[in-house]
Amino acid sequence: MVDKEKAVVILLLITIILSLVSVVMTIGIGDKEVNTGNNSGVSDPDDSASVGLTVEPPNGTGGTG
Amino acid sequence: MQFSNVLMVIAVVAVALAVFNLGATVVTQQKATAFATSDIGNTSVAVLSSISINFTQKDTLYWGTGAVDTAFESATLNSEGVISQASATANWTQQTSGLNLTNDGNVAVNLNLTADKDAAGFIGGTNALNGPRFQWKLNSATAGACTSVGSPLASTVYTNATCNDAAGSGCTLDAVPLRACGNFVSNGKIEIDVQIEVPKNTLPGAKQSLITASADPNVIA
Repeated sequence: MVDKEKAVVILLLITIILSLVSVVMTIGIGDKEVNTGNNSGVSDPDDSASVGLTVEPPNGTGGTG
Repeated sequence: MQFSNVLMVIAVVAVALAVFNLGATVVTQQKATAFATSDIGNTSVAVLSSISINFTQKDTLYWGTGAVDTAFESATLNSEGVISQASATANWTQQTSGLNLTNDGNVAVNLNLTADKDAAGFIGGTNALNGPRFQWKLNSATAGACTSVGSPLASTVYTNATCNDAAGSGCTLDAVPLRACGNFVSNGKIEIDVQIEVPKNTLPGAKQSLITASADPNVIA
């Protein structure tokens, strides 16, 4: 293969590569797709609370009332 | 001109066009990311309903240790600061706020309350006139938290936590949770005040009851 033919082949390869890069970048310009999220609808439909006291035997020292 | 020379010219032109195309793409992309040409965008978000209630600020009411004054038949304690007819030397600790329940979901719900013990099971003892009693009272801690109060809770009076806490009589625990609020709004907060009456003949010891709040979807909201 003569030098001129080699040069033509190399130039065409460069052309192909540049075109591919351009195509990839053009695709990148398109609308960005936002990842879809999911609100899982977390549910915590109940909860508990505690009520308490400690009782001692009645004490007759006089109290509030 | 030889064919190979023509081919060379075509190849050079092709490379030049490819370089120009790539450059134009880069410039266009930079403009697209740096400068919006329109101020209108569309966003679509779907939010699912979430039912959640929690005793957020206060989930425990504990009056500590105390005794009934022997001069009286019973002592009364509530979460609004009342302690009456208790021994002066063995007095319970004053409680000035009730349990706080928050709807931290994103929809209004029906609120139901249950207690795991009735007054006899929780406090014990008997008194011909006054108890034992285990009662609660519901109030909106934030404006409009509960726009539809259901029976048997009312906002101004204490009502029995279970079906029948009349003095000295037995009581079967409720099979169905009591509807406390028919429209507990999202981000609303409800205060549940509790009042108990301890008869003099209550057996000494620790007394505890668990109050459970549950929510179900409010189809009206």
